[in-house]
Amino acid sequence: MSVVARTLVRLYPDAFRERWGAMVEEEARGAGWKSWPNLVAGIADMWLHPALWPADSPAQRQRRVATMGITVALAAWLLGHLVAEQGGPLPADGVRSGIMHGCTTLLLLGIALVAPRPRPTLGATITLLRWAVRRLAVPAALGASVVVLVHGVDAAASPPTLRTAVLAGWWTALGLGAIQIPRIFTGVGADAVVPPHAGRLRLGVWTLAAASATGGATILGVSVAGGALHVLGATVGVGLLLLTAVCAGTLRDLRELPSAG
Amino acid sequence: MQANDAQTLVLCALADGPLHGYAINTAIEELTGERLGPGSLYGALTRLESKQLIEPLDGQGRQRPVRLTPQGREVLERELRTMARVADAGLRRLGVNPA
Repeated sequence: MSVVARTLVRLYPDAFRERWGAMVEEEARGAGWKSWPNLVAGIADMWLHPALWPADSPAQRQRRVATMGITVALAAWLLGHLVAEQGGPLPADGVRSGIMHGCTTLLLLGIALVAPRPRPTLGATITLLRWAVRRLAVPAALGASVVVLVHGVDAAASPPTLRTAVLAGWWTALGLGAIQIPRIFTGVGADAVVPPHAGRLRLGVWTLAAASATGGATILGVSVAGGALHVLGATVGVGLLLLTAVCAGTLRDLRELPSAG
Repeated sequence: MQANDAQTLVLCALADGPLHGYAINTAIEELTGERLGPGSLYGALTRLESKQLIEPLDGQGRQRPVRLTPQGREVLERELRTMARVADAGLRRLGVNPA
């Protein structure tokens, strides 16, 4: 039983675990299995609220929110890309297409607003590049392999299993890239990057919320309207709306924190 | 309101002085008859610390006590006064004399 409690506590963010981990584990061990659902809810709650994690300074909280913003933006881009590439419910032209292009523009603007800035020193640039290479080497190599394979093999003559493997490899590369880009910023730390100030951060998160809400509502609306339900489209639409909720929660956290104001 | 139910309970438990997590939950159990789940308790502590309503003290072993900050004391007093006013008005409307 204590093994389960310890395993669950390990799922908390590092900053939380370092501060409260031993005490949470003790409390969970004492309460037994009945506390596990509450513990799981607490873990999810903490991951959704990085602005609240124990921090040494307001800048550290802002850096975490910036990283969360980039993660949300990449997740939203990946979901939108999934619908576009895998025969989603959106038509290629018309008003809906315009809305989706608008959402992409908003996502890019949001990323530009929330992204931490590299410090203007050679050392910081080298550190950032080193972390970027370290984090993105695998997804970049995988993506490049897929591209080389696609251009070198006759698609019509290739077996279906190879086509499926290539497709899986492509999406794995994109997914890994989306996971690894925020990890570059968590890896480099305060020595190499500076988080945006609180006002800019809030504006960035608002922009990302607007992008994911508009995109999610459009895709979900198109997926459930008409004759048949488009399952992939509806799932992506709901996913984007959940990302909006994450942004809304972060905005509320930023409003309540005295240090981030 | 600046604190939800779990956060208000934690602030109440700390009104007498610094306590560590387990002792806070024991004080809450004495107040309400049940303990908070570990996710709720430490989620509330994290939120209160981020709002600077509580602060950590030097730890004893694995336990690290926390105490109310002056701002936390102020917020707790305001919350309790609001709750007392609401309880008083509700009881009067029910035709029950407030205790």
